[in-house]
Amino acid sequence: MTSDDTEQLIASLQSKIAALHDDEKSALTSDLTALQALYARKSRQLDRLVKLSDANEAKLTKANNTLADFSQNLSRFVPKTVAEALNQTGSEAIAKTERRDVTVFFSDIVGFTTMTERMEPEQLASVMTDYFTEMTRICDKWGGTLDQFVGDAIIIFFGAPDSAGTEQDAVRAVSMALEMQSRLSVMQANWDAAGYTIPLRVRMGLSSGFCNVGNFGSDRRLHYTALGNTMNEAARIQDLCPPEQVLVSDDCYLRIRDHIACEKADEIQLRGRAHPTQLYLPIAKQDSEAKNIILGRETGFRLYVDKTHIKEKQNVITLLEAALQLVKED
Amino acid sequence: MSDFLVDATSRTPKIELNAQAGTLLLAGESYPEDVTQFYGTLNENLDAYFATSPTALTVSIKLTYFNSSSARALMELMDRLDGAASDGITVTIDWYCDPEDDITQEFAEDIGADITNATLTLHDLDRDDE
Repeated sequence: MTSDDTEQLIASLQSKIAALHDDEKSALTSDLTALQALYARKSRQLDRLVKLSDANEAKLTKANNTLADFSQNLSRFVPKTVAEALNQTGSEAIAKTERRDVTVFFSDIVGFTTMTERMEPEQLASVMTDYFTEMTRICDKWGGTLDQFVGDAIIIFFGAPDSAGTEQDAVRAVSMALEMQSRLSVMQANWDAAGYTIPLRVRMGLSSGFCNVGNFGSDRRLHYTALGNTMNEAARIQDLCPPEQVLVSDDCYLRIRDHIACEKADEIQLRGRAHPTQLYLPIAKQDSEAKNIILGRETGFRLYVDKTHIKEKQNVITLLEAALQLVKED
Repeated sequence: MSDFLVDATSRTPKIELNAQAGTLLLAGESYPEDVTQFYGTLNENLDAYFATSPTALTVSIKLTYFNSSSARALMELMDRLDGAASDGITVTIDWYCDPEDDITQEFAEDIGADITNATLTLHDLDRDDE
């Protein structure tokens, strides 16, 4: 019923009351006046409630926006997977530590100390920002938990707080490492073009096995990390990895071999193991994505073709033909 | 009658109905899961208090947030207090609002306009009052 309808109804009642005898008229007029006052009061109360509800909604929207900003900032300081787990399950769920089967990734820049000595601080800051930004993006893409940056080193693990299954966790970790190396070869070309003459070459090592995972530290400051021999093994394997390659332990290899082609590398003696550990060099993913990518690297030669991202096909063909002709010339 | 005291929770305000002193305090935030039950209990205790034929009641409202359901319950509470005042009890309502919260101030002012027998006065809510 609209307010116009209400006024019409009141007018109709008033005209009917006017036609009544005086004694009836007086009583009904009094009731109608009281009813009108009550109706007006209820209307005012309804207006107040609507106004208050709108104001509360505005407050809620503002609070939500603040929370969204906070969450976004939070995810820059803690691993994305941990921020999401906090958001979904609350702090209690990830406050505990537990034994988890994970795949750990370690990377390190070859000759970083020399880089810091020979590059201008601004150049170094620019290169390192590009490097960490891209590596973090690729880590997030594959669902890794970025444990920490230690100087130029990056530590990432897969399998906690969320796991896609130990095999898939390992496949994702190695796929991430391979994509990082692919991306670095492209980034290196950009840095070369920008006049940064010192190459940024990265070693990457991975190992799979059990770790104690969770929030470690004090009740005032916690760090979500993994502790255990698998971490040490990944760090050791990364040390032995040839620059611009990825090296994995036998435990990791067993999980990825049906998905990613690997070559045998050296055997090493890892602490705590009775027998030497065979290491492997993953080559490329045996999936549809890998079929669209060609990588190559020699002295004076660097090739990265990602068919899925080519926009100007003819330009690429012209470049490749010119390069081929140049290489064939005596 | 004995006092009616309810501790504040994250969703409900503190309530202190002190029968001896003739005071009622509501302080905190109000968005109860069951608003009818929460304010219904207060109303029952108020009715019991009024049944003791007191001469006066001073009400202090220090709510920093209340949702629409609580607002409706508050309007019913004001009607009840105004009714008691019309029965001869001196009812004084002191409503404390955050000076930066225009909406709550306007809400309290609007309610004041509908109150004819009790006295409603608005005050600034100090941080210490919360």
